[in-house]
Amino acid sequence: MNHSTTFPVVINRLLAAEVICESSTKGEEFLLLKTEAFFNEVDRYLNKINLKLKETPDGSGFYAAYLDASGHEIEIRRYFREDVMHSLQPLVGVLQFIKSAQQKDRPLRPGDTLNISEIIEAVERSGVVLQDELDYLSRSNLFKNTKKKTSEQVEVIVKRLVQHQYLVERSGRPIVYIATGKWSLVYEMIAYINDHQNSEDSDAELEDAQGEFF
Amino acid sequence: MSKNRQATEDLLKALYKHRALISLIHQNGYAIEDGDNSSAITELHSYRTLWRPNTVDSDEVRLTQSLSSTLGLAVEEYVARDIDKDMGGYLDLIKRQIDGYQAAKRSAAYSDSETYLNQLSETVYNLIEHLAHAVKSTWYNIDSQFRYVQTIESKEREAQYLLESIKKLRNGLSIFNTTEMQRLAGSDAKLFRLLVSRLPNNIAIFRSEIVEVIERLKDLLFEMKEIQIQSRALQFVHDLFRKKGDESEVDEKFFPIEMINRIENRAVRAYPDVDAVVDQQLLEGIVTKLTSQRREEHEREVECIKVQLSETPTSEIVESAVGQAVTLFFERVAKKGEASVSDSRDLIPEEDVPISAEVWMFSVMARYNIMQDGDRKCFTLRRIAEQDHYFNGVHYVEDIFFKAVQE
Repeated sequence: MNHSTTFPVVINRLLAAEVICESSTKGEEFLLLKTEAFFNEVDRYLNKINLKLKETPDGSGFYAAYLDASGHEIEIRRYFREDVMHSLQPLVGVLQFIKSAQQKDRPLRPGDTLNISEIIEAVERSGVVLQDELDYLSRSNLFKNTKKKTSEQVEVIVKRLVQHQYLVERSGRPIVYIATGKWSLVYEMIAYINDHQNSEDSDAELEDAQGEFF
Repeated sequence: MSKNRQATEDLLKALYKHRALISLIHQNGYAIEDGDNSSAITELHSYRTLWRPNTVDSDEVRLTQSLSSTLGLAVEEYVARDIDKDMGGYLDLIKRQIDGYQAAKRSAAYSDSETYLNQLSETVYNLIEHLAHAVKSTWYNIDSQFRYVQTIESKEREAQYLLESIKKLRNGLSIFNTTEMQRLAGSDAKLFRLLVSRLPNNIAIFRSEIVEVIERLKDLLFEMKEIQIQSRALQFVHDLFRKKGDESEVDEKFFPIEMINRIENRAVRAYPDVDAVVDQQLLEGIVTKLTSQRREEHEREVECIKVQLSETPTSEIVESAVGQAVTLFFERVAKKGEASVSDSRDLIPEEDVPISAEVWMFSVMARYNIMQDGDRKCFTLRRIAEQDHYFNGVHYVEDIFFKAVQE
C-alpha cells in the first residue's frame, strides 16, 4: 500500500471517528501509522482542523481526538455521546457477559478472538445465569431485539458490535471475530468511572467518619 | 507394501507437505486456525500430530508433545522445562581437574597435565553450554509457559516458578566470579586464559541476558497487572450500572470533555498481584543485584588487564572489549591530538554489556596509570571537575581530556 493512496483513506476514516487498529484494517494502515513519519504527516494535517492523532494507551489503535472543545462540540457529541457514551452501559454489560461465557480471568481486549459458537454453547450450558444476562442485554438500546433463541440473540449482539466497529470478522471464518482497538476507548471510560466513583465513595466515607467524630 | 508402511509413508508425505506450518507452530508454540491454513490443520489433526486446547481457544492448535519433542531433539534445541541450574557440581569438577593438572605439572608428567588441561577445557565448554541452555530454557518458559496460561492464578504460579529459576541461575553464575577464577588459575597462563578470560566473558553475556529475561518478565507482569485492573474496573462499573437498575445515559457531567481527550498512561507498577508489592521488590532486587554484579565484574576485569599487562608479554594478553576500546581511545588521542573520555564512549562495541560512564572513565585512567613511564609522558591529562556543595566540597570529576604531547 503506498503513502499517497493511504493518506486520504486514513484521514477519512479518522474523521469518521473510526479507531484504526491492526484487526480492523488488515494491518496496513495501522502499521503505516506506527511509523513516525506517517504518524507526523497525519497529525500535522489533523492539527490544522484542531484535531490530534492519538494512540490508545495500550497501543492497539489510533484515533482523532479534539485539541479543545470550543467550536467542535457537535462532532464530539456525535462521536462520543452517540457512539460510546450513550452505549456504555450495554458495552460494559457485553464485556462482562463475554468474560463470564468464556470463563476467563481477563475480559475481551483488542486483538482477542471471539468465537460465537463457543458463546452460544456456554450460555446453553450455564442454564439461567448467562441467559438472564443475555436477555438483559437484548433489552438495552444498543442490542435491542425481540429474538427468543439464544443463538439469534447472540448473533444480533455480534452484528451490532460489528456495525459499530468493535468487532471484525476473521476472513474465511464467519463465526470467529476479532476485537478492535475501539475497546481501548471503552476501557478508558470504565477506568475513569472506576476512579471517579471510588474517590467519591472514599470522600463520602470520610465525611461520614468526620461527622461521627464531631 | 504393508499397511503400516503405507501409513508411515502417508504421514511423512503429509508432514513434508505442511512443513512450513509445522515449523511455524514449533517455533511459536501454537497457530491460530484461519481460512488459509484450515485444510492443512485438518489433515495434520487427522494424523494426530496436532491438538486443540479447547479450554483456551478452539481456534488454537499446537503440536503434540511427541512431535514437538522429536523435532526439538532432531535439531538439538530441546529445552527441558525443569532444568538443573545447580552449578556447584561444575565448580567441584573444575577444582578437581585443576588439582590434577597442577600435580601432574609439578611431577613433570607433561602428558598427564595435557590430559587434565583438555578435560578442563571440555568442562568449561560444557559449563558454558549448560548455562546457555539454562538461559534459553528460562526464555522458553517465559514465552511459552507463562504466556500460555490464561488465569491470573496460573500466571502467578508461573511467575513464581520463573522468579525461582532466575534466582537459582543468578546464584549459579555468582559462583564463577572473576576473583574465585583468578585464585584458581594462580599464575598459570593457560589456566588464566581459560578461567579468567573465556569463562567470565561468557558469564557476563549470560548475566546480561538474564537482565533481559527479567525485563521481559516485568513487561508481561505489567500487562497482567493492567488486565487485572481492567477486569476489576469492569466488574465495578458493571455492578454500578446494575445497581442503578434501568438503563441510564452517561452524560457530559459524568464525562467532562477534558476527560474524553485525556488519554494517558497511569503509573502502574509491575507485580502479579494488585495488592502485593513483594514480587515487584523481588524483581527490582534481582535487577539491581545483577547490575551491580556486572559492574563489579567489569571493574575486576579492568584489574585483570592491569595485572596481565605488567606480568605477561603483550602477545599473551587477552583483552576484553573494554580493554580494546581503551586502546582505541589512546590511538584516537594520538591521531587527533586531544580527546575527551566521556565523548569517546562510542568506541565501546554495542554488542558488549552496557558499561557506565564511571567504569569507562576508570578503565581509561587505569590504563594510563599502568603505562610505562616513557609512554605516559606522551600524554597529558586535564580533569573537568566540579565542586559539590552538598558533599563537603568534594570535587566530582565530570570528564577527562587527554592530549598528545608533541615530541
